[in-house]
Amino acid sequence: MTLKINHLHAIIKETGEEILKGVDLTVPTGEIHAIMGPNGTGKSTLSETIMGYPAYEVTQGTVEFDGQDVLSLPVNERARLGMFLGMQYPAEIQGVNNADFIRTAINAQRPEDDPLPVLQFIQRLQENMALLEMPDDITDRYLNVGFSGGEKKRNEVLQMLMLQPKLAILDEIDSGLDIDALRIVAKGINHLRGPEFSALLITHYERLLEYVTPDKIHVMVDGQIVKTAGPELADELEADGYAKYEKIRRNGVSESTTPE
Amino acid sequence: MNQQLLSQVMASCVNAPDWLMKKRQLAVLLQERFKSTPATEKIIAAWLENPSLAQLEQSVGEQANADQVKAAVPHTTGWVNLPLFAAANVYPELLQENLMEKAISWQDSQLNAMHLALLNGGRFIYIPDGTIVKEPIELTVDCPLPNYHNLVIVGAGAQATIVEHQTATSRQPAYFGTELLLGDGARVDYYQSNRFSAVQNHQTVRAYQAQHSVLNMYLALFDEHDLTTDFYANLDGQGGAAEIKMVTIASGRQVQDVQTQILNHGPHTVGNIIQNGVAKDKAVLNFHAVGKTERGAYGANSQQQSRIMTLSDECKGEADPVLLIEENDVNAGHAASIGKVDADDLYYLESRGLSEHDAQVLLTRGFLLPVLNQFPDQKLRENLVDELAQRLEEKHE
Repeated sequence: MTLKINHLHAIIKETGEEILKGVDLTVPTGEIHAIMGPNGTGKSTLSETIMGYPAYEVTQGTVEFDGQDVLSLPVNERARLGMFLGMQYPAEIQGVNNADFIRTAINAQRPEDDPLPVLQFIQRLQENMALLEMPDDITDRYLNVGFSGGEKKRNEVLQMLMLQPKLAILDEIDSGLDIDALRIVAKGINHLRGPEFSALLITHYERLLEYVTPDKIHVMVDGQIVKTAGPELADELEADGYAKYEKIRRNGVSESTTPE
Repeated sequence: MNQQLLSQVMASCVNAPDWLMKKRQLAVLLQERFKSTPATEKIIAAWLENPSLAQLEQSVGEQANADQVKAAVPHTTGWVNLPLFAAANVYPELLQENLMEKAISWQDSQLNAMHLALLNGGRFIYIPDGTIVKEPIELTVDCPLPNYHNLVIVGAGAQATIVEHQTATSRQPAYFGTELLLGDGARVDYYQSNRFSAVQNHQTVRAYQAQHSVLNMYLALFDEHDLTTDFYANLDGQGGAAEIKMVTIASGRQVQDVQTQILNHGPHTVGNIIQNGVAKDKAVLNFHAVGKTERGAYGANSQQQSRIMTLSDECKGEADPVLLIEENDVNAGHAASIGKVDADDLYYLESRGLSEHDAQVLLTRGFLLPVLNQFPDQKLRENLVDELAQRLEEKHE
């Protein structure tokens, strides 16, 4: 269940502006990786492109998951492969009950003749809500409508826990969270950690990584990965910022580990 | 032709009181003076070709009786539920004064005049002053004839919930008319979800409201045949309030032309129209909403909101909000929108594994549910949600 990205280029369809300029990245099964980098370097674009957001167009390169070509699949088929994207700005959807939606989503990923029994669903939902310290009424409300920023992020993590993906891409799941909420969100991610689960965390800050220790950290600047190292890199970035890597990118020298 | 229709109408009025026979004859004469409109042309032509003048009570007597007994027996002491023609004999004054006079006017249009002339039956509900009917009054009928009419009179201070779920089973164009007359301080919750069988149909619900009366109208237009409507509340007395909440779906090649109007005549009256509709396939859905505030209706409030969601490139939706204000001291507002399913919403749902079709169905349901969820009757709401799911799943070429 390895995610393998090769020399990925992507543009914004409407303007033609290139955002991803040759991304190479491998996330093996069972590992948690983080992508860090300054604003506007394409981190979110990368996560949305992997999932298939229609505003971006891939012009070159490949994305494979478990050996399958992902880019030729519609968005929902990617989800059915076991990929999950926790979004930076989850949509607010009127008239769609949160719990009903989660159950519909779970069943959409199961064979048609084998839906999750309702009692099992409720039990799992309650366990996961307890883990994330979410109030009971949150699942009776319309999907993300009127949720605070923190509630939305927790709701993304709740969906992740319920859907049990093989790969979770979490796009700034830590932004706008206070320290307690951050700890709870991290608890959710660590809960899934195991040999069958991999994750890609997109973040600006090393704070989340204090709670979820990544196996690898990648630094992304101007549409490319310029550096890959162990979790200790977070401390260096915290102390020195991204200036060094922006300079490397400008000078055309990449320190990234080239994929085999 | 007209002479023939006149004598047919006379012949059908065998047991009717004199005033009703005369009124229906006049209606035959009157309807000729109107210029027919494109919207009603087909209906009138079909009726003229085959006037279908049988009386419903006679032709399906047992069923009508069963219907009558079901609703009337537990409450015979407090209120009245009779077949319309029977009521014309039992309550001649109430009917002569009110039948197609105060809410739906038989002299207003060709269609209304013809409806009265060709009347096949209906119910008369009379709730005397101060009577509170707790159980919902169900107006349920399988009607094989085109012109069916309910007259509902709710006296001063009386309260009732009326659930209309009628099915027109004829291939002839059907006209379902319901008149709601609310006395001082009366309160009525009225639900409607009707079904038709003919290609083209019409339904009218019109209310006349005396002072401080409150009417909540909940309408679900889920039938798949062509339909024109006339929903109307006349807030005549001061301090009256009317709220019309509607959900509609148009699919296939269906045309739904929905007229909704609230007239603020009395001071401090409150009118509110909320309608959400979905058009799919090659359907046409038009919302014409009018909030009219007359001179002298000071302190009135007139609000309306029309929203249409279009699910295909071939369907057409039109929202045409109108506020007519003749008084200075009013609070009025309208909102209208027509749009497709939001692409980002669709992506969000698809990213969780839902197919595009399922995501669309869920979003469309979500568009209608906030209005549907305001229907207070849970059983009815659940039935409507099921019907809605069916209509959304239907596939048309």
